[in-house]
Amino acid sequence: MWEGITTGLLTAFTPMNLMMVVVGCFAGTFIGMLPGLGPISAIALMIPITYGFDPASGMILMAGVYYGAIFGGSTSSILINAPGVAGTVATAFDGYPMAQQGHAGKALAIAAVSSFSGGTIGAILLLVAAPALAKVALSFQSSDYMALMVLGLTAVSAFTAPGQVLKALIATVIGLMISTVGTDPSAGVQRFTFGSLDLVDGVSFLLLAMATFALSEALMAVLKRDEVSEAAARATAGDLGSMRVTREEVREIIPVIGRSSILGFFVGVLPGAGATIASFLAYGAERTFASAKEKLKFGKGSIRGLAAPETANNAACTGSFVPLLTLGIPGSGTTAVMLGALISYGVQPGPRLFQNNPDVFWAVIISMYLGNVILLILNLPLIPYIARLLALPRQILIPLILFFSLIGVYLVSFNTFDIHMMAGFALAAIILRLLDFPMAPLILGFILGDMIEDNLRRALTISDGSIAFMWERPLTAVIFGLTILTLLAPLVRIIRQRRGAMLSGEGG
Amino acid sequence: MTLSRDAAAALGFLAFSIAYGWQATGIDIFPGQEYEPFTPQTFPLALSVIGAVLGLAQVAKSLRAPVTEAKSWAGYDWPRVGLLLVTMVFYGASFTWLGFLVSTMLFLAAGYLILGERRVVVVGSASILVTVGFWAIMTKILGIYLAPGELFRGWLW
Repeated sequence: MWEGITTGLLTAFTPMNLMMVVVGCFAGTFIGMLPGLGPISAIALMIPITYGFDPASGMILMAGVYYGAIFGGSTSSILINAPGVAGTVATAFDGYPMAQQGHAGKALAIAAVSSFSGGTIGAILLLVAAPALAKVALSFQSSDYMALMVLGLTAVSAFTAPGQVLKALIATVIGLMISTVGTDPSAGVQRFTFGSLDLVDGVSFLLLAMATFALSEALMAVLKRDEVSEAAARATAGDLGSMRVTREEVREIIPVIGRSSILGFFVGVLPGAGATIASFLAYGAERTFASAKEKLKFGKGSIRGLAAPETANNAACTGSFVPLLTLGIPGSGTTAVMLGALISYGVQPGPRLFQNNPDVFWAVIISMYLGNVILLILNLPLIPYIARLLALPRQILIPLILFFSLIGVYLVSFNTFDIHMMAGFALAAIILRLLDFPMAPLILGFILGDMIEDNLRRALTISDGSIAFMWERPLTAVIFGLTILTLLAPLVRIIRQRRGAMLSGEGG
Repeated sequence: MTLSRDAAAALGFLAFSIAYGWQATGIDIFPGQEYEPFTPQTFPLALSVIGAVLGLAQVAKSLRAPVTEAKSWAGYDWPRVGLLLVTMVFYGASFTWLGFLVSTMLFLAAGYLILGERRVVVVGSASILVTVGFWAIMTKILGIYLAPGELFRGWLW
C-alpha cells in the first residue's frame, strides 16, 4: 500500500496535476453555484477538455470538479437558499438562517471546514477500504458482477424521492434501452439503427450526459424563468460578515464532524444512496442526539445542523468512489459519468485497476485529499469574488452553457448529427423532468447497459443457458436477495403508511 | 374519463416498450444462433418485457391515485425553449456550410437575443469574442482543426 501511496503522491504532485486540481476546484465551485447545474453537468462539461490528457490527469481534474461543485452547491444553499445540488439541500436548513442573521461568512467557513474534514476522513477510509475491497472483488464472477449492477440500478431507483420508485425504475429501463442502440458487441449485428450510419456506433455517453443534464438543466432554468442568478448577485453584493469561527464553536462541531463523516462515508459506499441521503441522515441523527435546548436551534441557524450535512455529503462523495474504483460499478449518477469518462480514456475500472493502472487509482485518492485542501485554503477566501461571477446576466450565461455543451460533444465526434441528437434528447429530458422522472437512474442504466448485457451473456453461457446461476452461486444469490429487499423496501413503507392511516382513522 | 398526466405518460411508455420489443424481434441473428442461450435479441427482448410490466404498474398506480390538480405547464416559457431548441438544430445544420466561426457567432447571437438581450453592442461583442477566443484556443493552442465551412472553402484555397 505504501508503494501505491508513493506512486499516487508522485503522480498527483506533478505541476500539471496540481494545476488540474486547482482548476477543477475553481471550475466546479463556479458551475456548482449556478442555479440548477449540479456536479454531473460540471463533470460532463469537463470531459471533452480532458480527452487530450492522460487518464490520471483527467480523473484528477474531474475529482476536483466534483468536490468544487458540491462546495459551490453549499455556497448557493447558504447565500440564497437555492441548492445547486440535491446533496446540499440539508445545508440550507441551518446555513441560510445563519446568512440571514448576518453570519454568512461564518456559515461558509463552517461549511468549508466541515467539508474539508468530511472529505479528509473519507479519503483516509477510502485509502484503507478500496484496496481491501479490490482484493476481494478479484474473486467475483460474471454472475456476481451482473447481480451487483442490477442491485446498483434498483438501489438508485429505490432511494429516489418517496413515491417515485416506479418512475425511477422506468427511467433506468429507458437508459438501458438507449444503451442497446448501435452494433451488438458480441455478434456485430446492428440494433435499432434504422439503417442510419450515424447510429452504428450507438449513442455516446457524453452526448447523453450533456443532453440530459447540462443542456436540459440550462433549458429548464429558461422554462421556469429562474432568476436565481440575480438573487445571488444581490446576496453577494452585500457584506458576508466575518469568517472567523470561535474556539467554542470548533469544540462543538468536532464530535459532529467525527460522527457525520463515518456515517457519510458508509452511506456513500452503498450503491444508490449517495450524498443526498447521507446529508439528510446526518442532519436527522444530529438533531436526535442534540439536547432539548440545542434541538430548538435546529432550522434557525444551528452550527451543528450546518456542520453535519456538510461533513456527511463530502464523506459520501469520497465513499461513492469505493464501488467505482474497486468494482467498476458506479453507485451514483456522478460516478456513472466518471465511469463513462474512464472507459473512454481506455481505462477499465474494477478490481484490476488497482493492479493495471496503480497511478490512476492512487493519484485519484491522493488528489481527493488535495482537492479538499485547495477548497479550504484557496476557494473559501475567494468565494465572494466567485459568487460575483453569478451576476453575469442569465441571457448571456445560458447561451454559453448551451454552446459549451454542444461543442464539447461535437469536438469528440466531429459529426453534426450529434448536435441534432442532443437537441432531441434535451427536449425528451425536459419532458421527463416535468413528469418527475429522475435523470440519474437513466444515465446509470445507459452506462451499465453494455456491462450488464456482457456479464449476463457470460453467466448464461457458463451455466449453459440456465438461469440457475442466480441462486446456485451463494454470492450471486445474496446480492440478488439484497436487490429484492431493496425493491420491497418502498412497498413495505407504503403498506405501513396505509396501515398507520387506517388505524388513526379508526382511532379518530 | 380524463387521463391524468402520469397515466398518459405511463401509457406512452407502455406503447414504447411494446414497439421496442417488436423492433427487437427484427434484429438479425446468424443461422444456428437461435439455439444459443444468448443472442443479440435476448437483452432487448428482456428489457421490453420489464418495460411493459413497469409501464402497466405505473398505469395502474396513476389510475388509482386520487385526482389532484396538476401544476399547469402553460405558465412555462415554452416559446423561448422551443426557439432555443430550433436554434440548436440550425446550428448543427449550418456547421458544415458556414463553418465553426460563422455558425457559432450566429448561434450565440441568436441565443442572447432569444433570452432578451437587446443591446447590439453586447450581443455582437459577446458572440464575436467568445467565438474567436474559443477558436484561437482550439486551433492555435490545442491544434484541433475546425473546418472553415464548405461555402468559404473556395475562397480560402
